Amino acid sequence: MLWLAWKTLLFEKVRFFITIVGIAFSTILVLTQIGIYLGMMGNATSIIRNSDADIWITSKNIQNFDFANPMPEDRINKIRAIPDILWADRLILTWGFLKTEGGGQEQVQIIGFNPDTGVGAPWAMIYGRPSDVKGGRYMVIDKSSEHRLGALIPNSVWELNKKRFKLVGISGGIVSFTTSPIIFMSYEQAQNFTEGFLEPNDTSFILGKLKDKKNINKVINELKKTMKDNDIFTKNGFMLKTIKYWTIQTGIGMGFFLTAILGLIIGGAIVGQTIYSNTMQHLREFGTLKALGAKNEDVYQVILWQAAMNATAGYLIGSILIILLKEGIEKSGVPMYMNFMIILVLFIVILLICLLSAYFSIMKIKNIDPVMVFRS
Amino acid sequence: MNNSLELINITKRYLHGRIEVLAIDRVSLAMRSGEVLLIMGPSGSGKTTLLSMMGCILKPTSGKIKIDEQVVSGMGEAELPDIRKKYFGFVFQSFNLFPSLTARENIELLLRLKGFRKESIMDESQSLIEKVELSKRADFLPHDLSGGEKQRVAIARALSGDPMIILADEPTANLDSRTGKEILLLLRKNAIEYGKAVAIVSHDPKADAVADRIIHLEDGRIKE
Repeated sequence: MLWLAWKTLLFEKVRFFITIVGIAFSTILVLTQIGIYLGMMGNATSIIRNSDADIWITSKNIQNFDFANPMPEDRINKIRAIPDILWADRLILTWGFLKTEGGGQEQVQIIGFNPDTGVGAPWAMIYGRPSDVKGGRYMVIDKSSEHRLGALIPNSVWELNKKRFKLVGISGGIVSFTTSPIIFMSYEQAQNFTEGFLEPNDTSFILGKLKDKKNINKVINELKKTMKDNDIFTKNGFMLKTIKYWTIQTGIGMGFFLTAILGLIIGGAIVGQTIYSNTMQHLREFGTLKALGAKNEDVYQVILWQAAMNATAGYLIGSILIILLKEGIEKSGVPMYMNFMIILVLFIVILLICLLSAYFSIMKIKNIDPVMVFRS
Repeated sequence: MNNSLELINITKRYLHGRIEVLAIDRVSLAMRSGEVLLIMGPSGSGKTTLLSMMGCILKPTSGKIKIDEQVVSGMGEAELPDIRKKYFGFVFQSFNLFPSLTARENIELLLRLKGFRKESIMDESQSLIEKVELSKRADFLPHDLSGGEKQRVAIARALSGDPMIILADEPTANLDSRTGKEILLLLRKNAIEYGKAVAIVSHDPKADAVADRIIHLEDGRIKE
């Protein structure tokens, strides 16, 4: 029956072409939405994900990583006092204004990390080393900021909040959710120069590493008892909290979700409509098949194979186009995350929708009376 | 000799709106291998209904249908397609070929449906094409074939898998007189040379010449 489905599809090339163009369009729409959403969420959680910490301690009722509130940094001692903790370190997240070459300024996200331990340091360096920020007003800026800040020349001097900082390193692919350029500097520098955001002995986060991950729940419960003014998260828990905030509370997720669903509905409707009109046009042939001894299941197979072939051809074209366009989209500053698993899972979803859209055709086939073949 | 197909006291009633119509009224007949049976009668006499029941496409309201001594009238929808596949070949007035398939592929489709092995499908379809003298047109699509050629393809398809019984519904209705005669002779040849039981429903007076037996149907009853 696969053979008959293929022959019939190819016989009506224009219809087949229109259908696969429709599915390819739907695929592009859905994959773009999913890719951009995952890219944005990946950016929102990249520093948490790339840290080596098992637990994150934040100020109470924090909404997400980017909205950090200050807390006394000496709370780190409570964490270090727990025998199950291997190490604990502090991380500052704050904001500043960086003057650009033309005299303008850009708001930047500042990450202050401990260059001795490297906790919270940039993980992908194009030039220099994270530890180069140690010992003075030195900073690392991400390469992706160039289109906003201008050329990043190693050892050039920049003005950040009216203080001069030397560019000692360039990281690659580290982008914030807000798309503000990310600047990495030493913890001490970040703490000293961010007047207005942090008090002298404040920090934004305390990160901890466990000796044995199996004890994570025990450690978190213990910390929750002793640090009532703080929130304690596992690494994944903090990423989830951040993703939930941007997805649900800002409505961004709903926007992406609705567009993706719209794409799936469009794809399903195109295939359903095509298959149905195809079925109606070939009703007599299907009736003949039944009269000649084909069972309903045999005829259903023709319909389902046609739906599957449409879905596969359209999806293949759509996903190849997206893979080719991905780099260009990312270069324009839009984050996009795509991997084989996403492409595979979405293929299964689109395939299922296309098969479901053949439902009305199958119902039509089910009710064909083969006696019709004797009517001229 | 055993009957290939036997209808015993067959009745078919159906509802047309609220009115019950008696389409076939207590018809009994038998078909034997090698025999051509011609069913004639005016429009609305029940010829097509009778042919549909003979081919196990339509179930009778009452009565018994036997194929090769096996009672099939009590069988359900799950079993009847297999009976049709095994015992019958159909030839239709409008040919009912698949427009996307060549003449050869139309024949191969039924061979596939009947479960023929891939390697034997080509040999079998070639032999059927030769039987109906269509070798030169085998790879043409139906819309490139004449009416007569289409009906030859339909006959070759009906013969695929070597069924016992061939049922032809007005096989000459869409053909010119000469071609119609050729098709009737081809059906006759199949009865004689290959031992098929052939039933033809027709208005065509030329069909008399190929029939071994003629029954006239009127108001759903056989008129002697």
